[in-house]
Amino acid sequence: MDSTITITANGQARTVRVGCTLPELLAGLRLAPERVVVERNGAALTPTEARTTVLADGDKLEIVRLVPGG
Amino acid sequence: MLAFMDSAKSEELKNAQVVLDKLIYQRDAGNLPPDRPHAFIYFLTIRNLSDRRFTLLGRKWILDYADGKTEVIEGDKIVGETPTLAPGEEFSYNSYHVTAINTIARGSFHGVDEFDKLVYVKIPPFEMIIPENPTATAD
Repeated sequence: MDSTITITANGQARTVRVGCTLPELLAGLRLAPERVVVERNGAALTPTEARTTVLADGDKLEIVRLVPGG
Repeated sequence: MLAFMDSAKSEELKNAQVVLDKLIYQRDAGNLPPDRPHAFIYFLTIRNLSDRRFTLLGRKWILDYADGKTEVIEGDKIVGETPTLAPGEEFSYNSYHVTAINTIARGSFHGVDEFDKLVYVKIPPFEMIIPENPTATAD
């Protein structure tokens, strides 16, 4: 069985291990979870969902940084 | 009021366009103030369809709340930038408003054109409607 899956984050394909969580992915990208909103396959995740999401093969993520001052 | 935002001395650039590309609702995102737990992340594109270059120096938002109150927010720059747009160019960015109740956002971007004239571009109004089930998200 493959030990990795492929997801797409902001248009870029990434290989992560099976069971990788969204917080782990964000940590790897050096993004603070409280400073971003994540859309998974077109639907925005609530903070609770974002904390508990386990990534699945083929997931398409849009990670939006919360930028003040606009 | 910031000096470059005086609409009486400023010309509206009718051939510039602001488009809302996307609006994401999020409850309790980040470190939001407890009295304004609803965040709406907006994605805007400013297009220069005019025949002159301009530089945007700041923004003015007018937030009309469902309880009848209005709040005006002005600030230097746009997400820390002062974009210069030549004819045909565009600038896209995202930022967010926070609110406690349904709100209509409108406003304007202000700056100077290549002749040092004060100019502004209107932001068309868009609604920020809190979903019935606030744990859900809406696009």
